[in-house]
Amino acid sequence: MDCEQIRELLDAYALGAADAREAAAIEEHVADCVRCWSSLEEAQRVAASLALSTVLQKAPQSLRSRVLAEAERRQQPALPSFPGRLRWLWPAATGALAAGAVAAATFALVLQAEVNDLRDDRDRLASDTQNAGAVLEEQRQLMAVLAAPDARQINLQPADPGSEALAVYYWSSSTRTGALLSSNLPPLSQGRVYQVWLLTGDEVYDVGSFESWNGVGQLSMDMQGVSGRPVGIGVSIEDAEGAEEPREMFLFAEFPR
Amino acid sequence: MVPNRQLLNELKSGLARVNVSSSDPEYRQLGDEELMRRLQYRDKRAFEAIFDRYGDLVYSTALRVLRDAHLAQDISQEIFARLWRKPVSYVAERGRFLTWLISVTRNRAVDEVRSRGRRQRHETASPEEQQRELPAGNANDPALNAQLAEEAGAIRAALAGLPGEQREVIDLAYFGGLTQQEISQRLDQPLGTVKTRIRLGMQKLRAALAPEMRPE
Repeated sequence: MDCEQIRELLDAYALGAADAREAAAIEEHVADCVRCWSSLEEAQRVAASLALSTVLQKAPQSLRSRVLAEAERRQQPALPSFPGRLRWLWPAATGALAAGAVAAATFALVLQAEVNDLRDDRDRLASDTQNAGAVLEEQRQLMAVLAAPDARQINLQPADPGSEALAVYYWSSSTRTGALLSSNLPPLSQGRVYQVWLLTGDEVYDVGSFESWNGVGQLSMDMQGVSGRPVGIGVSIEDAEGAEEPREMFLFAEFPR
Repeated sequence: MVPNRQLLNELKSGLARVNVSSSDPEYRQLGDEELMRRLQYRDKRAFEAIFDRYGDLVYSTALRVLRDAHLAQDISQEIFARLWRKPVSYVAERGRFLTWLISVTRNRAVDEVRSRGRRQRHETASPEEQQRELPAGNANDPALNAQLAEEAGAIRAALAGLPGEQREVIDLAYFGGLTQQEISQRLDQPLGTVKTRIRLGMQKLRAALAPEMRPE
């Protein structure tokens, strides 16, 4: 459909009266047409104004109580507990982080290989070696982002003003890669991870998760799958298998417009 | 009580006044977008302020669609729970917060009606009936939401100025949750006639509300 045909349908769509076929055509069209999107937004404002013609009824006080109680219940963060034993730590990268672009980074990352007695730790050593390799690869990706000529950064703030958690997000538009460095993170209980989200105008993208050690954590990200201009980045605490959408942001930053 | 001129000017400058409530006075002065921005940080005072500002309107909208006070409360609670759980759902670049909130409320209420298989007959209130239903005023806060009250007055006047058949189809669509096809069948009118009435009615509303629809 062309713009003229679409605009004939926008009022019905804004009122929720368009059929499925028309609605699909409109949604597909306005995704790429700023003028029609603007017309739709105006129609939706008119439609929403209709609600103001409604006789305003005072909501029962019990509704307020219920709404605020539910928010209170959902406010509680996951109960953290210090992990009993940590198998691998982060590589030392202080020297590399002295590069000018990351002079503001204050995190110290430490790698230690853990070796137990031979009989019990043969498999564990193999697993640790694999993990260490993965960590080193992560560091390489991190360095690539930091070293990009168009690398930029933004500080994330904790949702709880009393929290001392810090995070910095670095990204390179040219390479479409990003990296999150964090410190002063509270320890997580078993089976919990920090999950990172990138928000665009239309979507919330899961860009990965990480665990922390000694309050320090990091994640490098490939942003090739992210469509649209990011408007924000956040970190939430989720189950290890990951969540489809964030329950609540633990750390957050909104990109400048 | 008639709001004084200074108060009206403050309200017209974009500050929405809220119900007298326990929400933080400082937060009552914040605009919708700032409150939503703070809500992303799980700021409960921002959440309270949003509820106190729009809780009645959300409830009233749900009630108008559902015609059931208990269901309206449930839907209203769900709307605000979703807002708390996922404030990122609202993106400022996509339009006014109030537009988004009302749209979400209305759509959810209509979904509820449809899922329950209910097809209520929405009787469009005549201008005389609407006049009788107007609230006497909020004794706690007579200047309650004066900015919204101005907009409410404008839309009511605009609706009253529509031919009855245009007002009827718009009401059936928006509050009745009917598609154009369903309205055509309900009223036993050709589909083309229904489409034309919707388009012309919305055109007139748009023109009547143009001075009110300032960019946010």
